Amino acid sequence: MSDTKSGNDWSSDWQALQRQYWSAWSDLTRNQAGTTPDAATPWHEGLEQWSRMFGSAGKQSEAAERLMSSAKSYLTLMQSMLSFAAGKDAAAINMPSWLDALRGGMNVPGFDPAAFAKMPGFDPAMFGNLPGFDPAAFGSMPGMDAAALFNNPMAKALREISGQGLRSFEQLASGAAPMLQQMQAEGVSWLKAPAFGYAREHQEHYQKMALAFVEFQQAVKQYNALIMKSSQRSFEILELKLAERSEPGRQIDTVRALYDLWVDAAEEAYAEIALSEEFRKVYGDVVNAQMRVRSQLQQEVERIGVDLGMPTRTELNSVHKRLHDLRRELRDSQEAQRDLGQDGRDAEIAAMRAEIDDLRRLVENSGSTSAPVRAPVAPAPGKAVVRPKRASARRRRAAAKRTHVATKTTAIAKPVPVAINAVPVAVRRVPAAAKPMHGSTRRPAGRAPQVSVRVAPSPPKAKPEKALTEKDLVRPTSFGDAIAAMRRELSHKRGKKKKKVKAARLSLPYRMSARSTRSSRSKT
Amino acid sequence: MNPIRIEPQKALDEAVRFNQKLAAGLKTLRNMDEVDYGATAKEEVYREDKLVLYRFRGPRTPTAKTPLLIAYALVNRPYMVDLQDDRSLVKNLLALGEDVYLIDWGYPDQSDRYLTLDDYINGYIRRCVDVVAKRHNVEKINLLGICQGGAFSLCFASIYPQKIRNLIAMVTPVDFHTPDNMLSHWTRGLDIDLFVDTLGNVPADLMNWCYLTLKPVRLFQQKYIGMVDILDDKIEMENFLRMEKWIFDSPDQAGEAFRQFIKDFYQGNKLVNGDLTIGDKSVSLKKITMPVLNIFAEQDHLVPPSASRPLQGLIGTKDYTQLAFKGGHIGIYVSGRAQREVPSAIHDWLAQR
Repeated sequence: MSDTKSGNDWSSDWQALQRQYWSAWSDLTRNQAGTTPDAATPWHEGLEQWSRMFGSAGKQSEAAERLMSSAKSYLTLMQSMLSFAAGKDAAAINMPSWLDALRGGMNVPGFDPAAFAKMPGFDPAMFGNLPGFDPAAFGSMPGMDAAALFNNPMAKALREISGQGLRSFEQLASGAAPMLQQMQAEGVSWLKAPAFGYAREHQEHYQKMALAFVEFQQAVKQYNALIMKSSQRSFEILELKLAERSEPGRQIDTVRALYDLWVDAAEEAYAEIALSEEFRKVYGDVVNAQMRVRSQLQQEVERIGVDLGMPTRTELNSVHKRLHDLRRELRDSQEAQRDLGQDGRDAEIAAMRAEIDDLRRLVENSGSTSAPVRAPVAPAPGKAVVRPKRASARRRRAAAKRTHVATKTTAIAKPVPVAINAVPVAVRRVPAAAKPMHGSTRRPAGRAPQVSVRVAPSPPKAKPEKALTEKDLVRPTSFGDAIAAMRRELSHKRGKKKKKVKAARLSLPYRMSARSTRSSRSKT
Repeated sequence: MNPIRIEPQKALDEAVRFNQKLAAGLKTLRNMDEVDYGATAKEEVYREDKLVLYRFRGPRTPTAKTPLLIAYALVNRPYMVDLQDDRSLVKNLLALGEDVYLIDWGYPDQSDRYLTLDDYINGYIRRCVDVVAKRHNVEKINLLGICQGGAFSLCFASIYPQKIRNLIAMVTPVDFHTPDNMLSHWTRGLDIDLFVDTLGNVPADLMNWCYLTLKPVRLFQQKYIGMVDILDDKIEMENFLRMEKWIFDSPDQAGEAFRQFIKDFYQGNKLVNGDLTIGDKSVSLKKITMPVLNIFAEQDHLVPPSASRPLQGLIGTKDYTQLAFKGGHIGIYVSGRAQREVPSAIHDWLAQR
């Protein structure tokens, strides 16, 4: 066909081609669906036929449904443009006319006003008496009516989600219908009236629920306004994009190309709006407002559930939470035990114990007047002692090496608490108020001394004023500390034979009793 | 000159072709089998709660000495990396000699609502890493994190650098507050506590809808108009439906983990700000000192490149490589270009380390 054809020629061609198309389409569908489509609305009817065939075809029906909603819009565009062009010369059609046709054919996805009417218990008209809920105001919004209020993608998504303990927003709305009707009857001032009396809690709850609904709808209204703004902006952008294609070779020559260009423009417009601060706030308001509504309704459902003796979501959540907490504790404990075994700490503890035993014996045999530190079986002085089995030389060396490291570590870091069971000495808590002993200052009998745990690399030399007994020991902060303390003590005792050292308090995790202090002094 | 020059005859031909395709689709769709997915044989090597750790089996024995563990996002199913025979990152990696493991998170239900990021990162991922390392008698393994799984992998590598030899982040968001990140922009207005307290687990359908509304016209409509073009091609339709299945076959999100992820990553941007803690362990990207390969997609609308690129300046390693892939968030796994470029890039990079 050429551009020189008259308008009448176009019209007759168009009708002939449409009949031809529909004839072919009918032949195709009649055989497969067993029905004869209505030729009065060929473009859409063909799709409807197509859709009906997949009405119960499982996964394919889902694909067909998605395709249908998209193809309908596309075909509407196609049909409107073809109808518009049918009586005109292609060269005579100006751009604004094409754009008008486009505006008539395209919608933002999800804006199907008819769908909203199906929503049970959610008749926008019932809000007519509420301040801020004037359906006429919606109708005056360009391209919108009250019925379209909840038919944007966001509202649809939120409406259809399954929340905990509740199936869908439609059901929520249905359940709240009586309350909403009451709102309609009494007006929004009812929502803010103070509640009192026997049922005040219930009344207050219903008021909150109703108020949440009002807020939600106001938020949706603002959201829809932005979506419409985006839709309008998309045509402004499309005009700009079309203007760029005025040059020969860049012109749009298929409906599909025009559609794709419109999609680009629509996405661009949407992105502009969606990335704005205003949209962020409105988006958040819609989601938050609906969550408040859902939350209020959930509380109501729970209350009914309790009345009926049914387990509630809150109860189940509580059980789940406790179960998770317990599982974490159990797993942590198991892993800690396993790690202890795996990283050789058990062996290290055994080696350290052996070394402590060795050091105790060294202290005992050093000729010191100090009472033996070793606790469980203190040998009598001067008597032969049956030594417990010693660790092997290799283990002792390894333990000594580790102990050395532990001591150094203690010097730069906070002391690490040691498991009580792992320390073969008495453990006693010391009051924080107890003061250290200096010179002749005596501690009242029975008063525990303060334990001073130094972390400095070189603790001051200390001189125990009395022999230590097992009873006098307090818990060392680590094996490293304990071993280092014993070594220092041993070293001190040996050196004492050569020179006198001014008495100083042993700044180590020992506890010195008054008795041990006296004993020590009597020998010096 | 008029930019629109659509001749009625041509337009009508277009309409007829469109409907012919639709008619042909009747036959195609009705005769199609259930779409399958997953091209490569795999064996289960570890299971915990709903998580399953798989090891893939290729036609040849792996030559790589260090195994590669893939940590996928929670928000979609991980079979995207092994979608079908000719679109499989896993298959291609195996063919190159890698030894590939994959964490399948499963489908959380209400009993998993209180799973936290601590459970996922310090728990599940750590144990999976330990299992893989033990099986191969190595101290360190290679970790490949994808999308949200990439963010998790960054956290893991920061907390346990001694367990990771090489780290690969694919389409991984790092800076969540870049101006073109629409998803992040929207989440910052949400009262996420109210959201999770109300919904419990976050429904997959809501998540999917949210993703679709990032590009509503393209994803709700144009995509299906394009589908008409392939309605008469059974193979193409199988591919399309397989992808559709993957897109909408999404797990619900465990409520507490979702709450933390939105709060700390999307709203707080703590990977960048540096005050992130997972459980009782602090995360600092500076502690990531192992070699890092960062792969992102240039046309990614979910994780814009601007969200991934900042990784370079935030981590502690000197061995950083960046690969910008020409494609989108999904194309990086399934496009023809991806099959040619991505597996070999990963393998070559690993081989050099």
